[in-house]
Amino acid sequence: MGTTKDIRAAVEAELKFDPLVDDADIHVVNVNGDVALNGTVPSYPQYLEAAAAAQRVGGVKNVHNHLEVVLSDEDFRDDAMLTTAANNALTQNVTVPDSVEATALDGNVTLTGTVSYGQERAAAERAVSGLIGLRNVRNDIEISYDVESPVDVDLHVQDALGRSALVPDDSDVSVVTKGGIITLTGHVHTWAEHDAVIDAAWMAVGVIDVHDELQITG
Amino acid sequence: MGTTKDIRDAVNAELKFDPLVDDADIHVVNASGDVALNGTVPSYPQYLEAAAAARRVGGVKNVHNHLEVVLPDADVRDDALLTTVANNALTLNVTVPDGVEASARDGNLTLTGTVKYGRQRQAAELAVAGLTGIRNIRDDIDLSYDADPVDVTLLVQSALDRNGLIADDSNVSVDTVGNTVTLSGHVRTHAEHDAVVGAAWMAGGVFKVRDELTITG
Repeated sequence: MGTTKDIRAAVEAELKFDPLVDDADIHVVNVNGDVALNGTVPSYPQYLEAAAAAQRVGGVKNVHNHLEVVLSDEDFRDDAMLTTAANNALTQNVTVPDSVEATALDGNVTLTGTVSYGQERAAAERAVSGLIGLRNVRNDIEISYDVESPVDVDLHVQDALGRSALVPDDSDVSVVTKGGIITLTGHVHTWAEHDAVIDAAWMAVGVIDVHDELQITG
Repeated sequence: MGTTKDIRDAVNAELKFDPLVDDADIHVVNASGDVALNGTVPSYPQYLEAAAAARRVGGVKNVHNHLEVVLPDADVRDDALLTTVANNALTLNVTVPDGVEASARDGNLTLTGTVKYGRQRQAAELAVAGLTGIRNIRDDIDLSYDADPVDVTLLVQSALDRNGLIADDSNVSVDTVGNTVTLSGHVRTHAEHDAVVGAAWMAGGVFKVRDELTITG
């Protein structure tokens, strides 16, 4: 994965190889591992999967997902119908807490409500992301935790990184917590390692936001 | 992650740390990186997440998920209702091809139908996995692909070469006979294992992936 052209070609090959992505109208631009995806895809899961495919490729440090979801006519759903389908999907999902609600406007679904953990917020997003007629998801779910001041958050996250198979023993990733906000800095080798670190931070009790300042060395 | 006890402690700590898992009735056994999860969890997503949590831990080579889903009374759904809800979820999902159907029996959901790609089969499982009332999923979806598989070994090998998680000196080998891909060699982590198996499932015409990979941990 030495040169700029190699990375663009590899991302294009990965998009073509992935059966869940129609790459016909995706254009890849690469500047030193900073990869931008431009163009259109026919569904929101394809929008997500195209970025995931680019992130799998070695040498990719950042993915700027500028893809637009342009629904085919038969996949179009009016907002009332999509709102109902989304709220049903949330209600029927055992991982999503009761208070989360969805509203559709022009195919864009906004999620609102309050949950205890970032992982529950992510679960709500997953519960609706496959629905036919969805163009994008805006996640405005808030995180609220009853305990006054969560203790040892840095330590718990650091321990989780220590256990992780993906994070090397000599990792320089540092975890700093202030007022429920975790800031992550340091270097990771791959997107998989990046995601492992971010996920670990979101798992800790009392975390309301995660600032990602990690650098992917590629 | 040197000793047996360390790994069990680490898996226990990871299960406790993960907010999507209630670890109250999960018992962890470790024999040289072979980890077994015994006991009960209150939902199918927790069943999946407990195994995923164990796989994240360094030194874990295999996870034997013997957990049983014991639903709280409030989460029990009768089979007619669960069947309807599951079929609605499949129909409303843009990634799941038409023709996939679900039927529930005693909270166990069976998926049937025919799709082209292993990834679509997986999408069908994901579309129903979170439904309240599910105890387990049996995926009987068939794969059918019009063309004979061409260059599958080459396509999968290229995908492995592109992948950021797979080391340049990886000794993973890909062998295709008919519609079956056999993967062998060594990977360091479960994440690398999943990347290799995931790549094999993406190729057109693959009906079966035989996983003979060894996780070095």
